[in-house]
Amino acid sequence: MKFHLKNFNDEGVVINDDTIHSAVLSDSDGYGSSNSKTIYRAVIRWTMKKNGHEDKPWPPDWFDKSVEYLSSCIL
Amino acid sequence: MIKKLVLIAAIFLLPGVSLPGFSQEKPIRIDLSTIKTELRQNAISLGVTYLKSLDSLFTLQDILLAEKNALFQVTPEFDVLTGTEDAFSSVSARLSGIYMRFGDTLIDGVLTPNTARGFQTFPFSAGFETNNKFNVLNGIVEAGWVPWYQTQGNHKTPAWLKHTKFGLFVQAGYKFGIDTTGVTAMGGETDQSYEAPDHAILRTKGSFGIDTQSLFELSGVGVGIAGNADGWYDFLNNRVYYSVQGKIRFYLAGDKDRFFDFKYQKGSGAPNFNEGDQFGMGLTLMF
Repeated sequence: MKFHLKNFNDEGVVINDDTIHSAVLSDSDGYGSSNSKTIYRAVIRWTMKKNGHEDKPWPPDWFDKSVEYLSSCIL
Repeated sequence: MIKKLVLIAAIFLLPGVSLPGFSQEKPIRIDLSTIKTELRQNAISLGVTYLKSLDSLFTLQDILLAEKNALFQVTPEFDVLTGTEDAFSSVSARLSGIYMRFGDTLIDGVLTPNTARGFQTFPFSAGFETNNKFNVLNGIVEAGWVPWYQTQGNHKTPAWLKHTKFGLFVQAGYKFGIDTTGVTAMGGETDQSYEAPDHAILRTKGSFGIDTQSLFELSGVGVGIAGNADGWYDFLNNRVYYSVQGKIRFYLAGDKDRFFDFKYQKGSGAPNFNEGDQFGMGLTLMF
């Protein structure tokens, strides 16, 4: 998660377990579904599937929560 | 006519039924703007963007297909831009998704898409666009190419270029003739497109955007510029339409979710392709 957040981090936000997703990602930095929020979610889910993990539903409030919170929900 | 009205009602009621189960803290962005149009009438524009994933609409996980160096994901989207007097107005509801092609890499022994390098995205959508009087209704299928070159890991890309975005799209569909309101649209609501009711639509669209975010601070308020330019070519009527928007943005209290804009827009874009201009100011709060 932190690897992908660093690559979407265009505002110099400190990336660690406490980083709030909405501080880095946006749903308006691209066109339509091509935005960092949608892409981040898709690539994390791709990673889960390709590495043999269960593709668990994401919590509805993940965008405003930390990396650690999301990890605890989907890992 | 009844069939058309039932179809329209179904399109807009289906997302509404699912609202009670939706609990995201920031699902809605409200943009309150005081706008002065070419008719010199003050207007209030209310824009609501409503975006959520299918697993918020339903209790089930949404669609994701994971292939080698590629993926496919689907999301529903509902946008409203409306206002009083002659302010530009539009409503759209669509099912949208993304297909991605990327390289992969190992991070701590875990295979994952290599977002440190550029990758290709192909967004697509199918849905409806209309104005707030519902006297224009276009059924549209859109597919496009949006290269993602903004990744911070791509050190060869100039920093200024990472604040831009670019996309090419093809749009096809049908313009339904549903206007039985007898209400004459005024100013920014006027349909100035050459797309005739009860006829097919076939356009190509090019889009370019820039958002510098906060370039510098004035008394603790971040200042930046944002702009978008869209151009359409109407194959069936051999016409060109365009929309250009520029904003000077003031970020309040260093929060990128709260900002104040001075803005200018020339051309409304789809579905009306109104050629008027509007300028004004607006406060955006995301919550």
